[in-house]
Amino acid sequence: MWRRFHESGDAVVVHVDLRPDADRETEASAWLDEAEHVRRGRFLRDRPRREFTLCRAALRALLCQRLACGNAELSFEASEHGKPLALVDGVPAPADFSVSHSGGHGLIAFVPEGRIGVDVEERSARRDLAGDIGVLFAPEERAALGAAEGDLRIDLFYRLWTLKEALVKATGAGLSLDTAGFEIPPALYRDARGPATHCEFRHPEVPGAAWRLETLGNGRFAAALARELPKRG
Amino acid sequence: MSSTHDRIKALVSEHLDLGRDPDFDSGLGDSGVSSVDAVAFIKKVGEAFGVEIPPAEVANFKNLGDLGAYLDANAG
Repeated sequence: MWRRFHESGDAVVVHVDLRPDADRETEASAWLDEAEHVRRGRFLRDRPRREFTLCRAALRALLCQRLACGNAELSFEASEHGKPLALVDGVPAPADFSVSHSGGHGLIAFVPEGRIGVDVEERSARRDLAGDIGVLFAPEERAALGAAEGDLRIDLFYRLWTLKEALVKATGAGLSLDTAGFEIPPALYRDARGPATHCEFRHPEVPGAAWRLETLGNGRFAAALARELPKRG
Repeated sequence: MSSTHDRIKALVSEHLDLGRDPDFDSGLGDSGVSSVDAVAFIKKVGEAFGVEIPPAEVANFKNLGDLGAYLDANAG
């Protein structure tokens, strides 16, 4: 069960409903191949198993539509740092995608050219908010988080984190990029007239690429999208 | 179980909500730990052991056993 959630140029983001539903999970598991069933069996708890199964089945169905292929022709492999890519009959597909899930919400982003990353997080109180801020964020971000209070601090925490996570996923570098090693543009979180929803960004460790960073959050979850911009000239 | 694993187990109990003892052969994601919690946890474990863990190494950890092995190899 999914629906179109957001469009940005030729990028599309789809929302997947991940609430518990045994029948839907059974139906979804029929879409998975042998390797995905092995992976499904490795999960130690029901929730991550359900999130993986429903999101992967939705990803397969949507990729089959976009790539005009059959489910049996579709497989996945991972890049050096874990970014998944799709193959049709063993040949890399000419499109990038990104998947994220948290609690009852999954987001799948597609783009026909360039790289893309998406992240979604259900906001929740954190056991060690101050400690998390200290290790995850860059100095200006830490200062802004230190000045915020209560729910506003939690909202800002997840706004910043999802932007960072979407970006590191888009680059393909994953966790090999230190989230505390770069600053999210302040315009995206502390403009006095209200923060911007998107801006262009260049990561100091990813030369030659420009990114559009965009917040997608709402009252139910924080989310962000990062997509590579076409090279100019 | 090594003393490193004991210390990691105690840190898991302090920082994460696994609902069970950690499995050192499984990834944190297999237990439903989110990426934000996993990254924060690994950094805090590094601080607790006095070991700076480069992000490139974090990306290579497949499970808690890999984290323990890195700490054993690099703790002073």
